[in-house]
Parts: sequence; C-alpha cells; structure tokens
Amino acid sequence: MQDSVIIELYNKRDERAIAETQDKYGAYCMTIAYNILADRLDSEECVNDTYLRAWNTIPPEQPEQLRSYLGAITRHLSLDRYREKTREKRGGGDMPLALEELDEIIAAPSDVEREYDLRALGECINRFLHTRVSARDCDIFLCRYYFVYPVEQIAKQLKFSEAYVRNILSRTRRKLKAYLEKEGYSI
Amino acid sequence: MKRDDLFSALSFVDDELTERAHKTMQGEHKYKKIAAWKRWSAVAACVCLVLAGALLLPLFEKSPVVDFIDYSVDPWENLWVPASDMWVGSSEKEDAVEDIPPPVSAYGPDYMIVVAKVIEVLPSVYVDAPSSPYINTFERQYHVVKLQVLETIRGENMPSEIYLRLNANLDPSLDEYDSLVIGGLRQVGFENYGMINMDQKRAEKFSFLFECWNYENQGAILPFKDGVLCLEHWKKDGWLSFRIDWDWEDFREQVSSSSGWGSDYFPAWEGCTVEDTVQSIQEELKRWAHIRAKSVRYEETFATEQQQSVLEYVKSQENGLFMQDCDTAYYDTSTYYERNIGGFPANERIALRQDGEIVYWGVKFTPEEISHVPDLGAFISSLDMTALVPPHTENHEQMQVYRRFAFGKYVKNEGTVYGVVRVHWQLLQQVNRDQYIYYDDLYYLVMPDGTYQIMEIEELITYIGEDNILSTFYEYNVGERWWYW
Repeated sequence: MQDSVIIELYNKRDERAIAETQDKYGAYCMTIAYNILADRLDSEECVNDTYLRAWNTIPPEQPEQLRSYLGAITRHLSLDRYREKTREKRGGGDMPLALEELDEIIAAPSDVEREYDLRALGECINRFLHTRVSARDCDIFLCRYYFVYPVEQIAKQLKFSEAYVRNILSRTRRKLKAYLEKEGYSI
Repeated sequence: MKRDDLFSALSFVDDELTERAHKTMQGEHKYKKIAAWKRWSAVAACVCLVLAGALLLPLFEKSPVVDFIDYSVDPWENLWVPASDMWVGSSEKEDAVEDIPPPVSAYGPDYMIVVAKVIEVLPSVYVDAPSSPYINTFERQYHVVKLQVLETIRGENMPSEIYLRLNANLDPSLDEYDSLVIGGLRQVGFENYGMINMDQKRAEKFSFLFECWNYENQGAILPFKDGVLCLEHWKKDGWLSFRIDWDWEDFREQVSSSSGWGSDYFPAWEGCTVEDTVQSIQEELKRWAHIRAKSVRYEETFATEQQQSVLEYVKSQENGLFMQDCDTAYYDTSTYYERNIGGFPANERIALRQDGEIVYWGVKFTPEEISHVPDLGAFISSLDMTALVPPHTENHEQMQVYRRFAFGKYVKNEGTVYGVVRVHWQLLQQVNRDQYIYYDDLYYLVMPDGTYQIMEIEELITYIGEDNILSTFYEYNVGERWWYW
C-alpha cells in the first residue's frame, strides 16, 4: 500500500492505518530498535510505541517519507529506552541517581531549547555529510550511527573487510570532529 | 557536548541520506573498493614508465620509427591540424584552401582519421577527489602527457574540423574506458587540466579513449592504444568540428593558487614554472591559428557581465564568423542550471561550415538569412519569468517547488525565419524527484523583426507547420526560475 494511502487512513482516523504501517514498516522499525537495544521485548515495545506516536501525530503531521518518519520516531524512543536501561543497570548505590538529581538543579536547557540545539547540530552534520564525505563513507557512517548496524554486518553487506569499514568510520569520525570544531562546537 | 547529543542529532539527518544508506544495507546500492595493491601497482607502473622514458629516450632518437618527429620544432606546433585545413572565414584561409587539395581518405569520402602519438608522459600523482553530489568519488591517478598529431586523413566529404571532446570517466561501472585530457582542455561538466584521468584497473595498460563529438552531439567513444591515438569517425550529418578549447583564467588559477586543486599536483613542465608553462602554451596557440586568435578575442570580449549575444557579435563581424562552442555536451539539468544563471547562455553557439553555410542553434542559415534572424537568446533573457504565478498555489499543503523553463529554437517556414519559445511550469515532486509534472505550455512566436505573439499550440502550427513542433526544444534551455511555495 502506498504511503499516501496509509497517511490518508491516519487522517480519517481509520485504525487500519496501524495495521498497514505494521505490515509495511514493522520489520524496518524493529531492525532499528533492536540494533540499539539488543533486546527483543524492549524492541517490540518501542515499535508499538512508534505506532502509537504515529497515530497521535498524524494528522497534523503529513510526513513526505513515512519510512524516515517512523524510523526517526523508533530511533528516538529506542534511545530513551536505552538510557533508561543504562540508568537502571548502574546500581552501585544511589550515587549515580543522586548526581542526576543534582543535574536537575543546574539550569538545564528546556526541551524546546534542546530540540533547537539538536536540530542545529543535526543540520551541521547534514552539511558535513553532504559536502565532506563521499556517498560511500556517508552510507557507512549512517548505517553505523543512525541505524546502529554492527560493523560486521555493514562489512558483510558491502563486501568489505571489517577492518576497512572500521577505517572508514574512524576517518569519518575524525573529519566530523574537525568539522564540528570548526563550526564552533566544543567537543 | 555529550555523545547522546550527537546520536540524537543524527535523527535530523536528511531523509535522502538515510534512505540511501538503508538501500545500501538492502543491497540496492553497491560500492567498489579500490584495492590498495592496485593503487600502488599503478603508482609503480607510472614511476617505471617515467624512468624508462628518461633512460630509453636517447635510443629512440636514433630509431627509424620516430625519425619523422623533428625535435627541433616545438612539438606543440604540430599538435593541431595545419592552418590550411582550418576554418574558412578569413581571406587568408580561403586562399590557402584553394591552393592545397584536401587529402583523400583511404576509407572513403566520409571518413576522417587523426593519428597522434604520446611523446611524453610526466610523473603521476594521486589526488583525493573532493566530494560532490554529482559524481562518485574515489582516488584518481593523474598524468600529464604531450601528444603530437602525426597525420590527418580526411575524406572529401568531411569538413575541415573535428570537434574533440575529452570525456572524464568518473563512472566506475565503465571500467573498460580510460579518459584523457590534454593540457588545459576543459572536459564536459568536470574540469581537469593538464591531467589524464585513469581508471585504476587499467593503469598498467595506458590506453585512453577520446569521445568524438560532432555538432549535433552524435559522439562515439574510440580507443587509443599502445601510445598511439587513432581517431576514426564517420559523419552523421556532414558536420564535425575539431577544436581544443582552453579556459586559461581558470586553468591558471587552479594551478597557481594555493587553494586550487591543481597547485600541489601539477608537475612542472620541462623545468619551467607552471606560470611559464601556461604562458608559453598560450602564446603558442595564439600564433598558430588566425581563427584561434579570434576565439581568444571573443572570450576576452565576453568575459565581462556586459555581454552581447553571439548573434549580434557575429552580425557585426565581416568575415569574422567562427565556431564558438559551449562547454556542455550533456544536458544534466542541475549542471545546466548553474551555468545558465546570469551571464552568457552556455548553449548559444554559431558555426561556419566549409561551404559557407552557417549553423546557429542547430539550424542552418545562409549568410543572408543570418542577418535577419531574431535574437532568441536576448528575447528569452528579457522574458519576465516572475510575471505568472505557478499553478495550484491556493491549494498546497506542503512545500512545492516549481521551475519555470524557457526553451527556444529557430524554425524556417516558407522562407521566413521564426523564433519559437516554449515556456512551461515544472512541479518537482518532493517525494520522488524523478516524477515531474508539467503545466501550462505557452508558446511565443518571435517574428524576424523581434516582435512576438503568445499563442496556443494549434495556432502556432498554422505558422510554422506541424513538423516543426519537435522535442528538440529541450536542447536549448536558456533559462529557468525557481519558485518555492
């Protein structure tokens, strides 16, 4: 089913929208979530939350690329879940939690500000990927850090050695670091 | 900044990049790795070649095979077809043509062969090509060579010039082809000066291809093997031209400035500085051809923003008609767009054939007709492209990008030369850039006196005939404007 038709189902509040979304993009979202969380149950939960988020935001959102839209939501939710899990696993007394509580005292940027800053950083990274790296290196970088594919899987898919892919990633990271510093970010 | 920030910020990366990466992981997009051993083998091969040349050259000087190369003469002087075979259009040339009969081709009247030999290869360097959204990038090996044209054989039907366009092969899938650039020749769409662009896989074989390109863009890619360039091309419609064009200013800037990509890589030529080399070659070229000097003057004249149209210039020149070629053989719209914005239209060109016929914008005119041809380039440039609003503006829910194109052509009907300009809107679909929607074709019929009428296609057909409504409109795009809604 075409994306435009699925979006129309969302617009009409037809619950078939979820089923169609799951049918077309369920595996895609699951891959993204699992790459980040490495846990099937947590990943399924994130994917389900993705459908819910999509249901709640479309309309008014009218994504041009439904796959990218859903992928970004899944990624975001998976990252939040990952942070939660990492926090839970710390154990070792209340120290880490206490530090986090102190963090709240510090004037933290508001969600809007943080969103703005992240968007600006994202646009900077966009410019970097468009102008400073080759298409191949850009793909490898995003496969690793956007989709969080394991290096060995990327290497296997592209028919390169793992060492070669790691080399490319390392080089791209260095270039990105230099680029961000040049753009005024403190790394 | 925390690493989480970086990770989160990646969520804002462009959809097209993530889509492409996704397709790469699905196997829909492939990349080739250039094996390191191949790179270094190529380097070693080039170094060996240069050393071999340096050591063996004295032996070759006594060889009968190369006896006919007169080293007392600057080899560049013989690079071009002799002046007697060059353009008609000046009184000197016409006299020369009458005195020297054209050679007869062993291949028949419709063939032309140019034979040249690589007489020097300078050391190679590797260049890490910059990223570009238009080309795939991978490391390249560059050389500088000198060619000497040994012989030209022309069939009696062949015109006096062959246009030679050297192709930059940046497509790794075409791995059986290599490309060659001589000196400062500008390549189609990509600017490589003084370099040979070699495919890594063929580095050891040193074979090159030239793309022979006639006026109507009916080119063919031909082999260059074992150090000898052999061009054989038959005419498609009786019109071929040969000229090697130099963009001196840009070339000079690239090789002499610290920010130019050539500055670190262009080797010195015969012990001279790069600047000396450029200067000496430029002087040499200016000397050998009367018409070449005219071309240089033309480039100088039209280097400023205050540019007159080619047609006006030609009309003002007595016996001064010459070939002015554009540097675009491929009509990639993104490249075309950049070149056409401001300044002189890249595709406006005029040529004079040996029989006195003139070709302008792909249409043949006699010298009498050309003086009555409306200046279509100027007309299109004067069109108010902002006057009309793109369609569907009241009904859009998301950003829509429209381009307004203007295309022009000349048609002759019943002895009258008209200019026809076609204007339409093109909606660029954001989702799939391959899907274009066209709206509102408008036609301007430009009369010989420069006045015009706007008309529908049915009425236009009554003026210029149905046969003249052709898709070749698209070849002469001279302007576009973009609207974002």
